[in-house]
Amino acid sequence: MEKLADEKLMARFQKGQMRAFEILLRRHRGGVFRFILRFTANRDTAEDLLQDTFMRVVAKKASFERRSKFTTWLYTIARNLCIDHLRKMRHRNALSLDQPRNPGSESEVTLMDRVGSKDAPPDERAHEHRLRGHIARAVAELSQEQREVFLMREESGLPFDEIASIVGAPLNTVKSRMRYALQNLKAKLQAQGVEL
Amino acid sequence: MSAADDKPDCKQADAWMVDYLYGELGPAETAAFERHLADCPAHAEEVAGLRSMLEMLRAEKTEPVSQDVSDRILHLARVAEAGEESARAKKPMWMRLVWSPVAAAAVVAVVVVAVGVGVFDKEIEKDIPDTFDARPVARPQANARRGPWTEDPAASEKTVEKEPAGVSGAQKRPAEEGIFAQEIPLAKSPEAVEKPTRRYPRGGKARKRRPAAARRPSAKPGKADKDSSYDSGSDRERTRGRLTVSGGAVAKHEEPQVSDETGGTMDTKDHAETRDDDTGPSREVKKLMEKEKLPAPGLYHSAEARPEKAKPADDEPLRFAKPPPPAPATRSAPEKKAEARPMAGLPVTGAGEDEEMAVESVVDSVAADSAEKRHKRKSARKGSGADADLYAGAERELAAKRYGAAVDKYRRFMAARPSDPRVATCRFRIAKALFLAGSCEEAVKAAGQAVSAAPRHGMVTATLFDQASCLVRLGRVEKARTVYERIIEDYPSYAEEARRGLQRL
Repeated sequence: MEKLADEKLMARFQKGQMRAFEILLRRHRGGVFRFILRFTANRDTAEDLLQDTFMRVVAKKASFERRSKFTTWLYTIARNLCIDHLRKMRHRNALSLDQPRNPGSESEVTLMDRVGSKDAPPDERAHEHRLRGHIARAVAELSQEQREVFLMREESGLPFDEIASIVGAPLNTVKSRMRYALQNLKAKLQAQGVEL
Repeated sequence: MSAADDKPDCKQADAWMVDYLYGELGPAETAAFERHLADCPAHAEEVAGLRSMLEMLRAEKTEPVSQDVSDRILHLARVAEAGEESARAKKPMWMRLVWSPVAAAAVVAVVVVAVGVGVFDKEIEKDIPDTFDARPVARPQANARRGPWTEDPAASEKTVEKEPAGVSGAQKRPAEEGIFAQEIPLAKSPEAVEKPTRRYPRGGKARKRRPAAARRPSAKPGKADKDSSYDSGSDRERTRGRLTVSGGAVAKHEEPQVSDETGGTMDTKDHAETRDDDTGPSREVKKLMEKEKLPAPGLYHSAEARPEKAKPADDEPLRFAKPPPPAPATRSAPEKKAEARPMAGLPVTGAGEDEEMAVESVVDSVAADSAEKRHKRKSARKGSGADADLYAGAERELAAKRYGAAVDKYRRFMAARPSDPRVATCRFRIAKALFLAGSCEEAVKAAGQAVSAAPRHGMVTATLFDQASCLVRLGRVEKARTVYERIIEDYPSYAEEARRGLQRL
């Protein structure tokens, strides 16, 4: 069963085989999680939304049609949940713990770094932390349309035609968004002093 | 520019850029694009820069999703699937009537009655002197509610209690629990409500008393089990009954507990402890047993079959007939007598009533004293399995905006698992739920507790902002100011937002 295609696994899950769902979860949890994590820039939220995504798969399994691609369906669910979450957070005006503590300053330590551990990051990991902070900030500053396309491609490895199906845009538009996303990211990272 | 062998212009190169970076151009287009790059320094530089950035981004791995999250999802999915399965398994009422364990038990009961009643009851009638009161225990409404299949309550109750001598409750328990762990509860079945089934201890021994509600309408409501259906003066205490037929061949046990004399529930162990705690009833029982010359264990009668002659054996739970419930004025003496004799052929006498009532009062007091203790033990026993779902349930309630239910489940989870690492998160979630529910006063308290207990938790700042917001709504501006100042001091990256909050004050 491990080698079955997603759609066949989903068909088995629709017949009540939990093992099929287990395989689907194991196969896609990483990609979906990375997408959500980069999208929301908050690990707790990402874990919650990952759970919501797969629970929606369970709840709506009957509505999945075998003609559809499972990943398209899965990422559509994840994307919708992310967008809903961002809408809510916009009303709340809350800041992400993954955002740098002092945007614009030299310090790239995020609030999560500070809140999550008693110790400052070790020196040898400082560069990684800085870089991660730069990337997170640059990604967060992308428009939602560019960000989702970039993340689905880079973090989840989805092909462009599938991304086009998920976001409901023409293929050329998706590629165009991707190119602008890359250009913007590069510009933002360079503006933060990251050497490329 | 469409011909791959031609050199693409900058506009075409722009269109191919992404495909080229991701290796999705065909070989001809790739060659053409690279020819363009050789002649166009701007695009060559852009491609080099983007490639470099992508390599850096790909090298920067995000942390994988934790196994806990995966396990939690899997668990929730299983729970959801199980719920769906059980809903799917629901059959039409007629089918449930035919195939449910209750119906099966009833069928077996009829058979066993046909064989057993004639033999054993005649022995009982012959061996036991008529000194035990056989006052009516079946209330009129109970009889009125019975379906046609239970026309002879004695028959069904005699059979449901039959258990081979020497089979202890401990020996029987695993099989019973195994059989019924996944059963649909009888209590939820409307048909079951009407069945004269009763709860018995695990040992399968019959309770020989009438329902507490009938005997003592003023039984303390607090002692009733949460899901028990004790209604004073009603027949509902029968609905959670355990049905055991012929040594557990067909049985239905919802919970490892039985109805106690106070309208609550108790299990065999509890009952044994009850007797151990107070030797009074045991002595009284022994006296009665000696007096009544009990038959050998092996066939037990339920409450409605019991009053005639059968008396408990040494290892049986105590059951004594109680004074009859206030009889309706319309009930005639012959009617009462008929009710008191559910088993045809057994004589009814009134002897021994005073002694019996004295013993009964002792038993009741012991049962009443230990009811709360038993309930706690039962809750702890049940909780061990259910606690795991509480957190997930609370999360679902919160997501569904059922804040009250969410708070309740978080609190129950915290009470059940005080050492669980998620308790800290529970505190913050409670604060959040209360905030979202608009319970500002409670939200402020909950937020304070959560932040104090876990000042480094990831939800601290959001909770502090919620707390400040609640304080403003409550008109406690100075306190809100303190919270904002704390955020500015402790969490500088949130200082700007906190300052905006201060300005709004």
